[in-house]
Amino acid sequence: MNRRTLALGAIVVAILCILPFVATSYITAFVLSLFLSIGLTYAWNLLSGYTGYLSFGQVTFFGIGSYATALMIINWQVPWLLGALISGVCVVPFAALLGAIMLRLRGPFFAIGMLGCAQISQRIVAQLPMTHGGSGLYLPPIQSIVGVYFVMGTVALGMLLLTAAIHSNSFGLRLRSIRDAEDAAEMLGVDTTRMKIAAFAIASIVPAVLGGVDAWYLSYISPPSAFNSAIDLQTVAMGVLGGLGTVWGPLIGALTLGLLGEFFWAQFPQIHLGLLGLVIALVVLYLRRGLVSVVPQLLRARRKAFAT
Amino acid sequence: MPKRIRSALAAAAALCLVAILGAPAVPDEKPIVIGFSISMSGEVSDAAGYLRQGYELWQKDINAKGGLLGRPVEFKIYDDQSDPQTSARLYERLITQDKVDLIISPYGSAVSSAASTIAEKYHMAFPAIASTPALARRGYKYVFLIPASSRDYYHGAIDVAVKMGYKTIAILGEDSEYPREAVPGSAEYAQAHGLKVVYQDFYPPKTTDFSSYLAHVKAANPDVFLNAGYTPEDVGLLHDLKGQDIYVKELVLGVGSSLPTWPKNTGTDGNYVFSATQYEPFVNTPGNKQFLEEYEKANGKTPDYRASQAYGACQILAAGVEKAGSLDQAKIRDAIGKLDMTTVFNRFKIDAKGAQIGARLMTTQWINGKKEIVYPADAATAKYVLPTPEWAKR
Amino acid sequence: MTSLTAIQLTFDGLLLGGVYAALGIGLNLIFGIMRVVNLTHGDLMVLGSYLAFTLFTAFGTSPLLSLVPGAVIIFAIGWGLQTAFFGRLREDNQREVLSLLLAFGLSSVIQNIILVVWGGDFRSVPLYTGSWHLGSIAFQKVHAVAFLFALTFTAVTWLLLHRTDFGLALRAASQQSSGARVCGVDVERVRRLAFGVGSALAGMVGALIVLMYAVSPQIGSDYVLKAFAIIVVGGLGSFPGALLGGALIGLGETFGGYFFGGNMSSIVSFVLLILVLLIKPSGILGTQRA
Repeated sequence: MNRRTLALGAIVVAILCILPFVATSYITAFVLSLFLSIGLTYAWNLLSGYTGYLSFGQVTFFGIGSYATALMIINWQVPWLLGALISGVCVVPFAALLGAIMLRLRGPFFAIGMLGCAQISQRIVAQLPMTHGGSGLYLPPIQSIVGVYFVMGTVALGMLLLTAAIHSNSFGLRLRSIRDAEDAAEMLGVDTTRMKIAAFAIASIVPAVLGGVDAWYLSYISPPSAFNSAIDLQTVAMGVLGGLGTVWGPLIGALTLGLLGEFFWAQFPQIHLGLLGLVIALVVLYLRRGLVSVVPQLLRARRKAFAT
Repeated sequence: MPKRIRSALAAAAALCLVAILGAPAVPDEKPIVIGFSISMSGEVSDAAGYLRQGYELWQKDINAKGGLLGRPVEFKIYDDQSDPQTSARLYERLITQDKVDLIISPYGSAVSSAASTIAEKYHMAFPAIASTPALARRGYKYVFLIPASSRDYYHGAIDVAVKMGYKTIAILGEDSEYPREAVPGSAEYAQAHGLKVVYQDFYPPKTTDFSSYLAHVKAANPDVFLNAGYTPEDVGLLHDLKGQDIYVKELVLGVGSSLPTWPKNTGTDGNYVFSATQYEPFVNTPGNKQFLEEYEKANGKTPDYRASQAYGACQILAAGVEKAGSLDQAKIRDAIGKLDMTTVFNRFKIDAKGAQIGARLMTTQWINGKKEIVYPADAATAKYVLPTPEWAKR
Repeated sequence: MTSLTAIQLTFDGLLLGGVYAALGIGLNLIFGIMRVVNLTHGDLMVLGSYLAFTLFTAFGTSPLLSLVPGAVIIFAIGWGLQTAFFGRLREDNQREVLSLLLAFGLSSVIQNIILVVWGGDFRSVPLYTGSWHLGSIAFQKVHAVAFLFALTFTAVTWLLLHRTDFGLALRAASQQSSGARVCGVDVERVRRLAFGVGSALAGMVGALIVLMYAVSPQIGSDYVLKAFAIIVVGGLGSFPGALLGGALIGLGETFGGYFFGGNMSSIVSFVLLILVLLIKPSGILGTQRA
């Protein structure tokens, strides 16, 4: 990233820091939901965008994080942030194991497998007596959303920076080699298994932590809400729209769909999910590389216009 | 100015004059906006439809009487699609964006629970149409319940079973709010009264295939079968019970079997089914006759108890507002805490935590396509028919 | 568990399995031929259910009859999906990933269309209620009827694939598309037909499902997972494999449901799926490489 981008970024971050203290609670809540989407999309992008192993089941970890954190808060009065972080840590061995199994599957089977994982984990969690099944869990009501706002904002920013750092260094290059030609990469000495599992783990920890924070934010979770497949749909749409395997793609995708979604959801709640699906389909057909590829084209067009 | 424009202006002026002179004496105060979400689609949408009609009838009545605190009442309604999360977001929007003056409840324990969390967060009085006592146990200050606790729903049906000398009961429930209270509540009560629970389980929401659960039920061969669920589950279970040729002497079903649409959904198979109720069209609550007349005129059918529940909830909220003399939510909630009145729906009295202790539960049975109250005896309109006839003879 | 219960469960499982197998065959056709992971398969099945429901409510027609016009409509939709969407993807190494995403997005679109047109309520067609008896085994009339119809579809599809020119072309196009082209097979047209036939099968199964259970717009996702489990377990691209897969998944659900509760019955299918993918990815009777 060049200096100008960093400067611009710093200004934006400063504005966002002041926001909760000056704007209405509705706007703060909206920006908070954007942070959540951005964080989730970056995490998904790290796995699906960079390694090419599309996962349709990221909500598995989101849900597990939600429930783990909620249970810690309710049963042992663990402070919410600590609970969320602990959930993130606890998810690691589970994600590593799951990853080791699932990542042996190629392409479509991995995707289907993860989709199944999400459904299964919802049912298992609902079965456990301590989760009260379908009636859900009630958490102590939250008094101020400022804490959650800053935590989610930090995660979003952190994931952006992480992706930027990874993108051009050797780790990122190796990840992308898996997407482009896995067998060839393997032959060239890239330890594809370890790389894939690493990406899978990161893509699991972040949703788990965010799920925990979200549970605290909502004060009430139930299996269908914590494991809501619409979360996956939205994340995929945002990632694809922005541009898979890019640094700015998830941000652009999340912002675009977040803003559009806020408009659509309020006006046409009936077709919100279908529209997300349509976005995915249209982007795949007509804008493969995502919005992020449109920007250089626009810049080139502008330069041309000024040159003549 | 040209002749055409002059005559147009004259006509417009004349119309305005007529409008101003002819308009009814509407209070030109700023309206009071009451916000809520309702399930226009999804699992509980049929029951929720009745709720909405009850609300709308109340709105018509109160506006005809000059409004609330002298101001007309308007509604702001969203569709929550029977989904708790959606409802929570919608209430957040109603309170922070649309800035409504008052809120009333969506339908269903699960959806209302989620909405109640938002109500509490923003300190808004919330008359919850939810039967789960868990709502009151959370220590929320602004949330109170209108219906009686679902834990006690089926006590009447169990009393009848015990009277008939039945020995065993199997209980199923959907894995969601109200059954999560109703099932253990019924099981405890059954055990305490000498009825042995031979099988008990929960099925996930949106289950359509009950065969594996019914395999257990068939093996256990109970005298009584109870399901706590909504319309899709009641209809599905009845269908599967018949399909697997399972006969029980007393069949008690959930919300679906308590709706007026039950005979249409199930035909003769649905006869002789027991359900729980807190209101029927023929009860003697104050204002009920007029409520029935107006409801039938407006909607062309008899009201279900949810409609009267909605109407009653609004009556309570209005009473609280009038007593408090303002829209201060804390004052309203305090005023409501002191009420002990009978609405169109049932008696209303809440305890310190907001749980409903005044409303009275009754048990009904479908006899020849008509729903009769069969228990307790002092409220009964007909004697119950037991044991249930065989499938072929219904 | 008594032996009577065991026999009852086996019966139920096999009846269910027959219907599932028909669903799997449709998916097999599309995946085997085009390596397209058709996540819309389940939603097209649900569409078939709703079409049958509508015709029943409006005219009182039994789904067993109305599945014919329903199949035609859904055939057209399947053809359209291949022509307008999947067929437009370039044949490069990104194609699998992109077709997956495309199917994922389209699935959501179809589910939403169903939701908007028919509403979110559960629907069913309450015909053929009651049960038949074979000794002390009771089985639901509806399940038996559905099973017979599913078996018929399966047989007809087999004939189509192995006794017609279309079937020959289809199999050629799946094995070696360039070779098939050289032999004069219009590969793109064959693919469209395959998508159409596979989808029509899904639609017909949907008409059976709406007799047996209640349907709602979202259940398509559950069924497509089931269908995948079936063809993976049985063997990708293998016809008898789909039958075997259907039987195993059906039995898994009835027995799993009995022992672990209905909630967990789908876990059985999933676990079977994962096990097979890890041990023998081409499936029990499969020959194709996963």
